[in-house]
Amino acid sequence: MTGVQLSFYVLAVASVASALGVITFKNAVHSALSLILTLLFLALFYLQLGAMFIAIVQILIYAGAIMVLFLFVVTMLASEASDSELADRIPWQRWVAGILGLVLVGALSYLLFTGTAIDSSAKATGANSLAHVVATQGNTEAFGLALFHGFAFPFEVTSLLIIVAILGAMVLGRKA
Amino acid sequence: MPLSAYLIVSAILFTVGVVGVLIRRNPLIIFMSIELMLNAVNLSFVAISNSLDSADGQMFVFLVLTVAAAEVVVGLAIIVSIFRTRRNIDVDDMNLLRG
Amino acid sequence: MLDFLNNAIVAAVIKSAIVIFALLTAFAYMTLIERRVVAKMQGRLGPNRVGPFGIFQPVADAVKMAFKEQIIPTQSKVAIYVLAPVISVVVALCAFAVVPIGNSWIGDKPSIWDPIIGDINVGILWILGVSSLAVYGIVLGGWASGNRYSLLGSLRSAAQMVSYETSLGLALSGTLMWAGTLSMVGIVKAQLLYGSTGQGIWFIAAQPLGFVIYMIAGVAEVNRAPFDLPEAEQELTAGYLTEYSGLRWSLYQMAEYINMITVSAIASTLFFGGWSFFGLERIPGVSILIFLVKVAFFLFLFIWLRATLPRIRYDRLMRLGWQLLLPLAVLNVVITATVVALGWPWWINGLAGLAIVAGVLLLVRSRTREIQSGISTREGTIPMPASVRLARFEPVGDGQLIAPKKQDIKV
Repeated sequence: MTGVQLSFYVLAVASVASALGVITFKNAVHSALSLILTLLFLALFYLQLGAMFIAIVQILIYAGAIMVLFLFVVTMLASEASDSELADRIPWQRWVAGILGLVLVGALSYLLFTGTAIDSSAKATGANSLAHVVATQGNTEAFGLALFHGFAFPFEVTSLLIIVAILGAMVLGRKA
Repeated sequence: MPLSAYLIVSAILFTVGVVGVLIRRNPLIIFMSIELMLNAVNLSFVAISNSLDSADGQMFVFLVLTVAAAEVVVGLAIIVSIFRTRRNIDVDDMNLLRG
Repeated sequence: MLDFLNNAIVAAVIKSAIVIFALLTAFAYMTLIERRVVAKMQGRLGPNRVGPFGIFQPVADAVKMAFKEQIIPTQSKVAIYVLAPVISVVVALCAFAVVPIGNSWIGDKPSIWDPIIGDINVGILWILGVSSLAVYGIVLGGWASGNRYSLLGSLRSAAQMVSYETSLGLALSGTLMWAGTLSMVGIVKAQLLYGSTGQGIWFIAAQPLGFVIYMIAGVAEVNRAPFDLPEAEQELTAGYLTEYSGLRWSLYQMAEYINMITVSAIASTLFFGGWSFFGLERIPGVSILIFLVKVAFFLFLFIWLRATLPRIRYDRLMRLGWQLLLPLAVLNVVITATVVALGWPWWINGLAGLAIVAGVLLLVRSRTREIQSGISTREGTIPMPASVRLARFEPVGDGQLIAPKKQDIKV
């Protein structure tokens, strides 16, 4: 077993275990911590896949900003709301959800193993390939070139989306 | 590692998120499950980007990150304002159109 | 026999051990220096009994801390309560991994034994990302203590750090535009080699506004006075630290001081040329000394601020962050982007930044002067002698200015 394989299996088990933690912990703070762990494991996955910029941005934005907001709200509300949830009104839903989840994983895995392979003509080659740009320009530079040459319009639209989100949060957060 | 290995991890994480949305009653945890689903998709984007040797998949991850940030900001504001008026955030109780 | 020293991983491990040891020593002596300097500024003596000039005081403190009882409150969530200070310290130490402490040993040839642990392509983002995790140590510690004061401190800290992180990142992006790279070594090299003749500038000359915003946001980010609201003794009985004692308490202190050192190191690397000083850095080893002197200057600035300024009020803190620093940081980004994109020389950017800093200072000054001259009521302004300084009455509630009635003012 090579180092890459070993690290993949360790990361896969760890990320799935912490993801299960998110949905099984009773206390919402523990769930949030578990999700933070999952996000950090995913950042390591990205690093393994050679996407260093995305890995750091994942830590900076997801783990550093979004989850801090989550934790802020959870700790603020958890101090007043009761720790555990109310009695479940539809207990059979858990079993059905579990079985349906297994069916979903099974179906997706079946398709992945039996489906057609990725069309190798879609693979970028030569000067266009990511490996080439990363080797000549560097990781961040490759990302920036791709973002501002091919994806400038979606990038601007997301800035609009963020403005709208800020306005929405301000309207909702205002004292009624 | 082959591409399908990453895609299967991604599928498992996505399913965990789906199950979380179905079985939990706390909207904050439902929210976290949605984040989990988004991240599972991100993983497959990065894996496919690596396998196709093209940066396009990473662009989508970047866009998903910003969309997730916007979604969380608005969603948490809604949850806090619901909590302010009702002192309770169980989703089964949020069945009224009026506040 | 010494072949294993040519291994990059071995070199990284040894350098990390040296850096961690140096940071912990620096923390111990920073506590002593801070107490001595603050005492000097307040006309006291400070700790001077243990050894000559008190230089063994940190040892005495460490022994005291190690033998104190570490209380775990019964209402606390034990696992997270124990883990939280460790998160703080580990995160603070991790951030230092990409800081270039000195020049390459021989000429410009990079080797695995250069005084930097790892020069990664996204160096500055690594520091920002890891230090954005620092808030977890405080939030979790405050929540797990099971105490209302601790919880309030941790909520304040989360809001404060998220608010000031935006200004901090935007303030740095101006420098990054001038440098054209995110690597910390690349930023230092960009300052050394700036210009067609390669005469070099420090980016403070092009980015005065960015530097001012960065320093203010940096002080807020490490929760130091005058932005130390999460641990305000008077209101929150030390905030998230309330329930911590002994070694765990000192772990939090350690994290705070290491974060201060990191903020100072970023300031000297991005704005003051890192380890460079007009060619002196070419002498082997001197570059490290230059870097240490620069960092020490900023650390002194932190102490000076603490001794000078009173703690800011919480609503003012939020207003300063969102309504003043963030727009100014965006303005700085716009100006810098214009100058860099059009290929204008650096001094245009510098002059514009200085003009904005001076304008904001004048605006603040003129408003405070107006406030200090007297109380304005509906009947007119009551003049006050110059020695009397009054706090302004801020609008509260529905925007009405609340001024005291005439008969309430005792003469």
